[in-house]
Amino acid sequence: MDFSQVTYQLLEGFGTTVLLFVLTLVLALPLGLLVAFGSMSKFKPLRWLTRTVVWIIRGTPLMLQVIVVFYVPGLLFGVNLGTRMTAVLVAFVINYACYFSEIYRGGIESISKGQYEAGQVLGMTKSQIFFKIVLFQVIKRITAPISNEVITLVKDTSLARVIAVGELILASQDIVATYGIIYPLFYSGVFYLLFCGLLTIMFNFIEKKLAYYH
Amino acid sequence: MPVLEVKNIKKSFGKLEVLKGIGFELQKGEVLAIIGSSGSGKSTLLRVLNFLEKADGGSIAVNGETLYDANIINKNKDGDLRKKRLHFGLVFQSFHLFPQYNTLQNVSLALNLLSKEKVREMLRQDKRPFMTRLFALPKTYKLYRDMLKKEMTANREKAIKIIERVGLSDKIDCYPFQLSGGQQQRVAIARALALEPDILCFDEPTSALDPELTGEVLKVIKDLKNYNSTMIVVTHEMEFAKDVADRVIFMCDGKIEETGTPEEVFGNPKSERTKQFITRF
Repeated sequence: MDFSQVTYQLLEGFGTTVLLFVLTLVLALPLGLLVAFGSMSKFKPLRWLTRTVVWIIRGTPLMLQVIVVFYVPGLLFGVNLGTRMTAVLVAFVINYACYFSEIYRGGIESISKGQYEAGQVLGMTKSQIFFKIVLFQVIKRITAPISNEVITLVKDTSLARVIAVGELILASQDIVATYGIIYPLFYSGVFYLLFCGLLTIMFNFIEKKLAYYH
Repeated sequence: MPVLEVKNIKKSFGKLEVLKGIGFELQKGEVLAIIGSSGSGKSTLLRVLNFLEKADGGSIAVNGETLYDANIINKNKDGDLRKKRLHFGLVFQSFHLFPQYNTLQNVSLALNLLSKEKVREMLRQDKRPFMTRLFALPKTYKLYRDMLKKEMTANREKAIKIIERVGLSDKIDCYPFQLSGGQQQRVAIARALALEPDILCFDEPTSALDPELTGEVLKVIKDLKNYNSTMIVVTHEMEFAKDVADRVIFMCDGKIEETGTPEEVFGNPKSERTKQFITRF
């Protein structure tokens, strides 16, 4: 197996990795905001329910969650979740939404009461205050912790391998096992490195854009 | 008819009774200074007037319209409450400007949001059949945008004029962090003025400022008097109260201890506690 064939096979796996990464972010970022509202709700049962869920999700390994989401619905209820990819995606979205929700919550609670009151005395609605005043300040404050999570997500996608989703690690392991060449393992590492490097540059750019005020 | 009628306002936080029945009237263009030591309930009174706190008892009426009456159980919907708040403006001790917006945006934000709602409300009045409206959608959208644009331009001009009035024309593009405390407070005043409240309230507007910066803020407030603005100023600046106020209220332990013209309260106080308070300054 020559270099170009290896590259091609790894790229295929990388495609799955990127797809999982993008879909998880697109779904988990807004879902996390909903979870954050739940965990800050004035309605106590909802608040405790949300916080318990967040505790469970953050307190157990993502690998376990992937396995549970993949096997349990079928074994207990005879429901098929569709493809393996869907199962991984569901587990990832729930897991990351919970982590994001805590970052959002910290950000939202760090905005001073004065900002809300200033909006109120100017006759703004609750949603206007949130979207026109608070949210932007929250985004600025949470960029750094969010970028941390996002970069962790790049590497967490490899956990999809436990239920045999054909992502980057599985692709390189296949080559190693079949052809007995070792370098694809390091080669796959380069993919992760470049991807994370790109994201780092992107987040630096965003932080710089948001640095016009402090 | 007085602009503002406040009757028997009571407010407690838990067991602590902060306001024990405050009542006063304010005529159009009148400037009222409220003085008193910290913890006397001055700030809470302003917060109650601006509906940031709900009074436990008493009533508030503006231009003869009762905005709040503790005896009438009225479910204040968010929308109603907002309309009521617009009768009042409040300038905070620590400014609370929006850091991500520049001077012009800080002043015009609330105006623009109100315009947006106004235009949307107008479109909602469209009672033609659904299909007609559906086909007219591109036209309606254009109408919406044109109307909004017109309103925004008017808001912008209005904001620029008000910023000029507080003497910050050269800082119109600056963000709050680029301004001194005194300048920030002047932006905050402009922001409150933009909505043309019936009564403008100041909660110790100079207490967070360095002494050399208080002058410029006080000058702006004094200048507003020439525009016939009705104002309530909670302040520790006795000279300013003497100079600008038409009437002074001295508050003590959640009650009005003494009220009168500045000459009466400062020159010839009747109450022993007022005397004590004033001689300390």
